[in-house]
Amino acid sequence: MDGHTQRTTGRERSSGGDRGQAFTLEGLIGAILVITALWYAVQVVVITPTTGGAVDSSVRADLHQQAEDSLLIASQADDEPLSTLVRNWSQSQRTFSGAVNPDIGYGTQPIPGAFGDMLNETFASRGRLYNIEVSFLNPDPSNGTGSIPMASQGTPSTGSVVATQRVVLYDNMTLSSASAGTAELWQYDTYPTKNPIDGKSGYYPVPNAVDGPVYNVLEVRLIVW
Amino acid sequence: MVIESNPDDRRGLPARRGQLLLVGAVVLAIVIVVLSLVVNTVLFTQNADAEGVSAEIESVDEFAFEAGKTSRSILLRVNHAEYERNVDALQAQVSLSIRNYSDALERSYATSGTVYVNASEWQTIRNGTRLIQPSDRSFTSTDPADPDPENWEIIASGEETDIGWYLLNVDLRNVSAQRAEINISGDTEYLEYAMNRSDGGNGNNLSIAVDGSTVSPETTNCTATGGRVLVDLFDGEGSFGRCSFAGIDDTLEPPYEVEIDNGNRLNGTYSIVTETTWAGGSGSDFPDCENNPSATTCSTPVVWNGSVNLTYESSTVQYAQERNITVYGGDT
Repeated sequence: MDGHTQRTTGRERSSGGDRGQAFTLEGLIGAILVITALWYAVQVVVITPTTGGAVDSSVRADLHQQAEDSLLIASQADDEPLSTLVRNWSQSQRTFSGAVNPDIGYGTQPIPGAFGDMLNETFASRGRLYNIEVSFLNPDPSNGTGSIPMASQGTPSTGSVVATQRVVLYDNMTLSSASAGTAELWQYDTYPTKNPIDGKSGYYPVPNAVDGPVYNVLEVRLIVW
Repeated sequence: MVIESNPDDRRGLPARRGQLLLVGAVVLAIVIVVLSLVVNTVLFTQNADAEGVSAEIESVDEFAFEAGKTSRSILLRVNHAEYERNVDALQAQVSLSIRNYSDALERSYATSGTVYVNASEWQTIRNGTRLIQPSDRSFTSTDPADPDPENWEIIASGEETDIGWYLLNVDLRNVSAQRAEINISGDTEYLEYAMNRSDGGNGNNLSIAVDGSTVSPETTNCTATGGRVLVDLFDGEGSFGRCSFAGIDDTLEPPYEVEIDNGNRLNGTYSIVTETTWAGGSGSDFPDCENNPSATTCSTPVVWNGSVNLTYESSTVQYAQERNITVYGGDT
């Protein structure tokens, strides 16, 4: 009887030990499965521009679209306010007419004309800042491009967007500032001198870079943040 | 009633619990993997959708519009730059000017990005003729065979054609106080412009009285600048937009016939662009301008319409189009 009891107890102990090992093994496998799934999930997450959380892509997209639209409207309107603006040059100030100084252009001052009104309503009135640069071709292609600051309001911050628009100037156009005479663009000197050379009427920094009726192809760059 | 549990059940329960733990872990792992795939797909789709391409398509549209508009402006300027040239010389100047513009555009795009653009290979579809009086004189006929040079037809009956440009540069000091008339007949309607110097011939305005089959009679004064008044009969405005009246473009339908009465009372220069080719004076009283520098009136070829090949290539978009350009009237 005692022997039988001992044998039975030994079998039961052996059976409980197997189950314990089975539980441990199943728990271990389950844990490995879950950890593997989590590791996989973490590894396959797409890194997007907004993963870091610094910039809201939809805000940037809206801002970029607004900047593009502002330039497009100013470029394609019948009275061509963008073309008028890039020719609104003051020879005495050596910057755009009514601007603060040659380094910052209009700076934070309002830009004249319909384009300026649009920038004010779209960006400035909503606390946005912007820079505008006018880039022009040099006559010699190896010299690349030159640029004039039209409005510099500071250093663009994170989340800034850039929109560009091209403006074609023609030889027979004139400057649009109130003080400008009837001289055509090709008649201006591109160097700021008080004594214009013979045949030149004054100073306008954009040179005649294209043979034929086209004078230059400008790129107006609007940076908003 | 007491139900005794089966000893086998008691033995099996921990085993099933162990299997349940394993099955639960498998299910949890599958859920995690599936969720990660779903989230991954959504994020990828948001960032790789057509937004970038559609933005590029807007740029392509913008490029095509601007290139077409600029090509039209270039053609207009080349057409009106000279007049002592033949058709071949005109075509050479047009092609060169478009090619130079295309080079400049290529440079401009290349310096600010990776987009390649091109606007070249101009093909003229139709030439027209510019009838001009390049120097100041009265608006009378220069054709010796004309029996009444003060009352004559610039575009006679039987030679009716479309007009895309009709500009007068009037020397007001030599304009009479009495009216000269320019009569234009369209397909079914007509317009009459009666012009004279204001204030009995001493004023600083050119008085323009307009009457026609579809317009009410009205008179407008266009002020001179430096003794000159620019009058655009095609668009119906003068003095750089400071005065306006009914123009040919908005009032009449082609083809047109043009007649001048009392042309001796008006003085200045004029330029009329017609859709018809009258090279060498054939079909027109105006002699050819080429090799004819002493001509007081003459005709010279212009490009009426044509096409230009536009190309736009970027990493995501490749675009090529043969774009038709109409220089006079119509849209690009």
